[in-house]
Amino acid sequence: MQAIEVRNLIKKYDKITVLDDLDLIINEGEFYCLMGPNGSGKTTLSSIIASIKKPTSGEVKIFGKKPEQSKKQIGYIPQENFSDPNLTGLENIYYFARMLGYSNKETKKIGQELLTKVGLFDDRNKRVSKFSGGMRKKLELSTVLFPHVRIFILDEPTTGLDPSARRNFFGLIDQLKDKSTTVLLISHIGSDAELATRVGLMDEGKIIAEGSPEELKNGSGLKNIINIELSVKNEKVKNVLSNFNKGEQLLETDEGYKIYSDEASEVIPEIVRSVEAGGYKVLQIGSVIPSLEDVFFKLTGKKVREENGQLKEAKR
Amino acid sequence: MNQISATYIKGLKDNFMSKPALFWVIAWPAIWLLLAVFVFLRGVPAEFAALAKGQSTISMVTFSIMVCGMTSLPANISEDRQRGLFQKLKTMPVQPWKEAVGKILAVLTFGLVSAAIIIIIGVLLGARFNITLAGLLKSLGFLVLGTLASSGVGLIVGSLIKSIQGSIMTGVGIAVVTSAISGVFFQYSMLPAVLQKFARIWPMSSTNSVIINYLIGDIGYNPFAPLYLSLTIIISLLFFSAGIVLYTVYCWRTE
Repeated sequence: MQAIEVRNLIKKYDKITVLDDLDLIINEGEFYCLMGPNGSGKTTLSSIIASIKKPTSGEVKIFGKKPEQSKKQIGYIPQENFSDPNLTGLENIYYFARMLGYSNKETKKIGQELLTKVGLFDDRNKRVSKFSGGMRKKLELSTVLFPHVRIFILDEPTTGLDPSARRNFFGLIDQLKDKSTTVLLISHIGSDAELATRVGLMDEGKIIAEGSPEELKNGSGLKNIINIELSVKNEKVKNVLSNFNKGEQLLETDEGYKIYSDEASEVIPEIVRSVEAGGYKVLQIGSVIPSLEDVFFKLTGKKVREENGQLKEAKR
Repeated sequence: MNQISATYIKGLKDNFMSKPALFWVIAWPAIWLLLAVFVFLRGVPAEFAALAKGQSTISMVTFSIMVCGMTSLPANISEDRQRGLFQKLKTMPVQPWKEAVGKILAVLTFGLVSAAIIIIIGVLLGARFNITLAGLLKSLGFLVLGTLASSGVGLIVGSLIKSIQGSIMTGVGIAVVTSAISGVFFQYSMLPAVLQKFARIWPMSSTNSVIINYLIGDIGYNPFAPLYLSLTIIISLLFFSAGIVLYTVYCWRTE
């Protein structure tokens, strides 16, 4: 059964097209990740599905009905921490339960159950302002676990969390969702997208590639990637490294650069020699398995993630 | 009822946990009352002092209600917006008017609690009132009207100004400036003629005048004159309606 059906969706703000004739089908029980850089339209798409925004044209259906008619079945987590820091964990859950129409008696029962599920029962009477970032996200996750919710829409839910807390958060989702629960995750982090059964890569309002993480990686033709950590980054080093990159664009990372290569073991010593001949130091070099972020870069020439606060494209 | 009561309880807790709200709604009017009693009313003859203190107490109750609606309410709205709560609520089967009513009732309760505290302080400082049951009930009615007007202004400020600090400062600014120029902080008779005209139609000052008239005595003009009374009610309801419309449009609209 189709949980989410999107047909010919267009969203324009004035003359800017944010979603460009987009189609998307997500089946019941699927864990689907929309991955793309900021401004690619993924949050707009999830907002339309969650009935926060209206499309300019096109159609969205949730289990065959309009999104506004399916609000009870959707559990949405926005990027921001929406829980009230002045209230305790339990009071926050009570607030959402009552807003969903549960009676006092049901609210008390469900509130305690949900906090137990996300492992916050012992902290139930602690004010949320005293919660860590990870605890607060868990509390907010509990607001989508009400019994009637069949679709989780998670819009970059781990923003601001460290990698360990992020993994714990997704571990919890995996543990809590039952087989029929559909998950739509919005992310620009490749490792988050790896959890999905299907990934849609989004760019400029369109889904440019779709498939399981493995299908996308295999289809990209990427075999090996050489990750180079350098003491400095500049044009001269880039020129040296570009000679090894088989005509592809050079991907800049926080620590250095990434190079696409089929024969990593042979190329690595040459790279080290060339860079050091130019008077620069290679701090670390090694071959890594391509990630979904690398696949996206290969397809678009753009980085999915902003590093050091800027979206930089290291083009040849 | 669930959505109204859930928002009401949350709003009440938010207000009582907010230091700026506690300062502007309770501490600031209490400080003004102390100043009035110990500084401004020092030279007042003993036979008038008790009623003069009563008048200052009523004015500070009005100011407290005004600043509550104009500051606490927009602060709550801006905070909810900044936290993404409206995004979350829009995806839930929530009726915006119920959420708005819950918020306003929380502000009303907070205002009434602060009013009670200020009245207790006033009475302890020697304030006296000419209380009749009818006068008291009518005063309460006008206090609710004043709450609607100030909540309307608060909804407008909260809907239009996105930052929390910005909405608090704007609300405080409107409350303090309009109180100063409409005779809430001073005697109506001390105002220049042009400001007296403003004081008769600005909902908060005219509400203040009506209550003083009921519980103390003559204010210097007749606030029950049909023109002033009808303008007080109409402008209060206009502010409230405009606030509700803007709140629905700016905070709940599906873009």
